[in-house]
Amino acid sequence: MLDLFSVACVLGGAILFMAGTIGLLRFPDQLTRLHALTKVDNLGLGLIVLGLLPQFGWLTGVKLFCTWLLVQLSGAIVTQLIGGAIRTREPRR
Amino acid sequence: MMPLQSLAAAAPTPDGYLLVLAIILPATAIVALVGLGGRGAAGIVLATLAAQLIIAIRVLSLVWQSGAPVVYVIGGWDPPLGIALRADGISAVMMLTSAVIFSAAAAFAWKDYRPPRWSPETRGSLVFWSALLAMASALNTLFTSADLFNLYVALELLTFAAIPVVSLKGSAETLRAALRYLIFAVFGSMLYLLGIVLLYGAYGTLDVSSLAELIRPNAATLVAAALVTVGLLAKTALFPFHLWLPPAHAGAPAAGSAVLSALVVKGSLFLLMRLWFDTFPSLRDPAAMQILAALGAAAVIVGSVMAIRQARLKLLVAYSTVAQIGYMFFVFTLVPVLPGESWIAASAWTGGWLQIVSHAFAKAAMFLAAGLVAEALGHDRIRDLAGLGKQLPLIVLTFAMSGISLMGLPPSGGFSAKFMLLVAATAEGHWLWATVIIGGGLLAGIYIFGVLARMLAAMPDGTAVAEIGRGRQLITFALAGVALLLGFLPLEPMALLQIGRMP
Amino acid sequence: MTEQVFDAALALLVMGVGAWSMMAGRITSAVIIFIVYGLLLSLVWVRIAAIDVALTEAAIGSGATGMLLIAAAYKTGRESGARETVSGSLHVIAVLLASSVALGLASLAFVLPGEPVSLAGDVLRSLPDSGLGNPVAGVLFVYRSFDTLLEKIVLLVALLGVWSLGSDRDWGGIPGLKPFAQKHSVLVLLARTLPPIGLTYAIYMTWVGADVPGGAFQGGTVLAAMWVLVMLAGVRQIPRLSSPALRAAIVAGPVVFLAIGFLGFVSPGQFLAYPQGFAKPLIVAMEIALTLSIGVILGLLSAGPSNGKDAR
Repeated sequence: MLDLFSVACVLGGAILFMAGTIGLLRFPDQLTRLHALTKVDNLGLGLIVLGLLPQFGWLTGVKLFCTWLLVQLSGAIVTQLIGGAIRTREPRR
Repeated sequence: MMPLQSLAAAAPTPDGYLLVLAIILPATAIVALVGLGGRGAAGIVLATLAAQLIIAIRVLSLVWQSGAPVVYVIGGWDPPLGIALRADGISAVMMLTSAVIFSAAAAFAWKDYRPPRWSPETRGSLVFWSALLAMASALNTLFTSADLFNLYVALELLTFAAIPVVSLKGSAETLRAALRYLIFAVFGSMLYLLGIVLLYGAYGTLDVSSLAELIRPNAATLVAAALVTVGLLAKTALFPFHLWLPPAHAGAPAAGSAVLSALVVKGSLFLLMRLWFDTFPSLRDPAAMQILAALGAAAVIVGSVMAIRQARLKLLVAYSTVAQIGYMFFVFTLVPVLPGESWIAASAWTGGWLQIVSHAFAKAAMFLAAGLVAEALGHDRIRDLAGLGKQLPLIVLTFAMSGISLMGLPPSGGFSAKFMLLVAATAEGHWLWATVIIGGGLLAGIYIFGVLARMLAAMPDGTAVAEIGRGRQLITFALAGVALLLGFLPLEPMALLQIGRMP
Repeated sequence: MTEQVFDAALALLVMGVGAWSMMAGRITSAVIIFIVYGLLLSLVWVRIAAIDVALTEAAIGSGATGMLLIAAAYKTGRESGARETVSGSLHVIAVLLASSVALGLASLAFVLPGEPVSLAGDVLRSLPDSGLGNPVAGVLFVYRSFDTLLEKIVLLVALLGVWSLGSDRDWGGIPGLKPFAQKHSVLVLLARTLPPIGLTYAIYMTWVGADVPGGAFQGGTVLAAMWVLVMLAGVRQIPRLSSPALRAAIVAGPVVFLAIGFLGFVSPGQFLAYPQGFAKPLIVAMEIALTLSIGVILGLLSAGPSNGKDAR
């Protein structure tokens, strides 16, 4: 039962990553590409971590959760920085 | 921890700790210089250099008296797991040569890079003295280590110490020279590293003496040997890898140039000879060795011709190094593959090492003399050297004496070296190399006498010559004197250089 | 079967990204692809169970090197005023040289003896004597500690080489790294929140290094990354290069290492040998001091030479 949950979550995460990558390649401009990336970082990785949680003991679980948190933090801030850089380079039309 | 006494070759000798000290004392001194921010730097530098000299003399006398190598096993872990240091005859000779030249270069540089006694350091003083001590440490490692990876670390230390010396003057020109040197040197390091990785993959050991027993001439080994050789050639600046050398050696301050040309290029050359004669003797295919000799011959000719064409004295001296390095590669073909080394082969071996040592002294003297010339005149244009003979006779004499050794005129170390190489070449029927050895001497004569003729020409009016202190002139003169005195060694194979050679 | 498919895909990807990096037209693009290449390569190291190497590859090979390359590309592009493109013939030569070395090595994989020969067995057999659990730490701090010691001197000399690129007048001043962020940028937020976490992680990495993958170099790199972040965000002033406290941090590792090395002469009698039963505590002490020094030196290598502000 738990295994099934894991498989479903990780699979969901993987599909999201795939979608995000396609978005990164296909979206028209930098801001929308960023959008694709952040969604994947947030949800995709979240689902994978969630799926892996039941497979390990609590200590590894905490480590996995911390990893996700750190990726959230750095992802959000780097996105902000890139967004800011794009805005200063091309003044608003 | 109980060390396992296994390999006879690595049995430590009682005074082996001297080898560790020769490497670690200068390293400790660098840490002290950086940590103390220049306080007490003069004392630290002097004590370290004095210790270097004492250790080198002691190691040489130990090797000489016992007729066997001095060995130390670091941390008590025998090879192949641990690292052994081993000083045989050639190591001891090179340790002493480098200790003497480092001391002379330090004494020469004392005026320009005076290490502060209790005041904070300056850029020049900290970088110059740290680099000098790092080169001393790295060279002693190269001369004594018996572990291929430890030798790689030594090569890296040598490179990273040499490069700041090249760009110490800080001009755009010297920075460019330093960058070019860096690219060639890192390329060489990479190839060497790839080569030893292959050797480890094939034989499971990095120890030089155990490898010698295990090695078989298969594809992986040959590729490894080729990679290591090309890597070391790039660092030794053998033609066609010489492109980095002239701007780098000519751009450094005089004392730095002296050390770079006299010793640093010999570090990688020493390793190359160590590997081909001690570790890969079974791979020594005569045809492959002929390639090395051919590159050496090309270096002699190209380097000399380029030296003749130079308009600046320091560049001329630097190109002369390119040429003189070439001679040392005749040893690879003149000392034939075992078994049963003849008297001829042994004298070629002695000739090669004598060339390395006498070139070290002659070239150190010549670079220091060129530095004094540039300081006295404010330039080093060969065209405008006239009148120096009257103003600074000792410098001109020094230049002439070191030139005699480089040309190979008697009596000088250079003469003995080239004569012994020439005898071996003719006796073994290598007429082409014999011709190059003679021709190289003639070409050297052209560039040396060209400079001397300008120096001795009558002084044009209105040339201002700056005052040069007596001390630095005497140091330079003494180095050239050693190069000449080496010519009074008997013209026969030296037993010292054979001590500890692998059978 | 799945593992082989994964490995094959990874290998192809690494080669593809490597080729892509060589073909990239702009220097910054090439560098960014190179960073991706380094990260993929660290996955390869994980696959062949070389976790220590994987960590180092990701931190140094990809992270620190990538940062320095981007900074260099940006700087040369700005200063020469030219558009930073990869130049012709030299680039072709480099590509040919690198590819031929790679192909040559790859073909050798087929001629190496089938059974791998290595000292791994010997290392594992004698490891328990030292009290360490991680064989990599055993090689770095027991059998070949001499190499590790000399490497630290190389690092020190490299730092001096970078410092020597400044001018005589500016010696000992504040490094020329410019803070990137304005006052209330999100970068400042990151530079305030991340370092405590990073510091904890660096200590953890160093501490566990004796028994599992990790150690002074990896811990030091994390430390350096945190410090560079703080410097870039302008949260704390970069210290003067002549500051005694900074110098003490730089030499702490080598000093402890050398001291323990010389202690070996006293007991049990050889340089860099550890007294019976004290191997592990001494090694941990060395690793802690080295983490600090490596972190500070890597940070300073990124910060560059003094630029003249507030020299001495």
